[in-house]
Amino acid sequence: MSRAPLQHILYVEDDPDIRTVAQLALEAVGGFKLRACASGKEALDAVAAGYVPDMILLDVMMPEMDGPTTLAQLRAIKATADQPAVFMTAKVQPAEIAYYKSLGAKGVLAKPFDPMRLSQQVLQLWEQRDEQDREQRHAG
Amino acid sequence: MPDNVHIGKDPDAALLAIQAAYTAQLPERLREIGGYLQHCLSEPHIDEHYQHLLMRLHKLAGSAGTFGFAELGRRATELEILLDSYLKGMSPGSDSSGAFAEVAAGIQDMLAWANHQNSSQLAGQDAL
Repeated sequence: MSRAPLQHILYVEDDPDIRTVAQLALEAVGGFKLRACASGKEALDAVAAGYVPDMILLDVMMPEMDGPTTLAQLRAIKATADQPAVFMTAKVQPAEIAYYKSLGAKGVLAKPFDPMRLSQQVLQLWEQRDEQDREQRHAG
Repeated sequence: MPDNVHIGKDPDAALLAIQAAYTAQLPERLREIGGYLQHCLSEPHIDEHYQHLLMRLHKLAGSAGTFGFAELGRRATELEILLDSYLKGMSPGSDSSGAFAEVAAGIQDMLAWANHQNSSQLAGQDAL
């Protein structure tokens, strides 16, 4: 059985142009509800104020607090301790992808991205998580 | 979000507006990279300059292709990797000016190439 559909996405990206085009891609094209934050601190504040996302999308390289640090701090908050997280980054060499997955990321979306395909890619990662859960249940 | 862009009901129209806004401020992004490169060359002992340069290259690498500037994004990606390798290989007190000269020449080539294109040529070269 599939989990509830993906609706609420917490998105952290410091570049305003990329944030805007991703917002377009995920809201207007994908139909998701996006909470777009310009920094890791803003994301942490949103979650501390009660926002509970279904999924977390994070840029990796940001000033002051980078994506991995933001994820680590989100993991320390109950509301986001187990939510699937995905990194969106231009740094997608095999060793880098392995590093993101070692941090608990469910996937990596490469930049640059096609705005018209981004929501499909996000949905695929969400559905893959359903499949992973089913496999774990069968294995158990 | 840039102040002059509003996401309405037509995603295609909104995307065009966002692309136009990005295109309009691309020269400023390139000037910033050139400025940080000059800082690195004139004050090579200040690490912060290299980190700013790396961040600007990374942002260009990650964004240009999304807005139709695929070749520029590809060049920025190569230079980001080159600069990152240079920074990881630096050791305190080492004479690494020769290695950075290669990075600097690559950045100057990219900026010169971009400045010789007009925006429509840059954007029209290839898709993602």
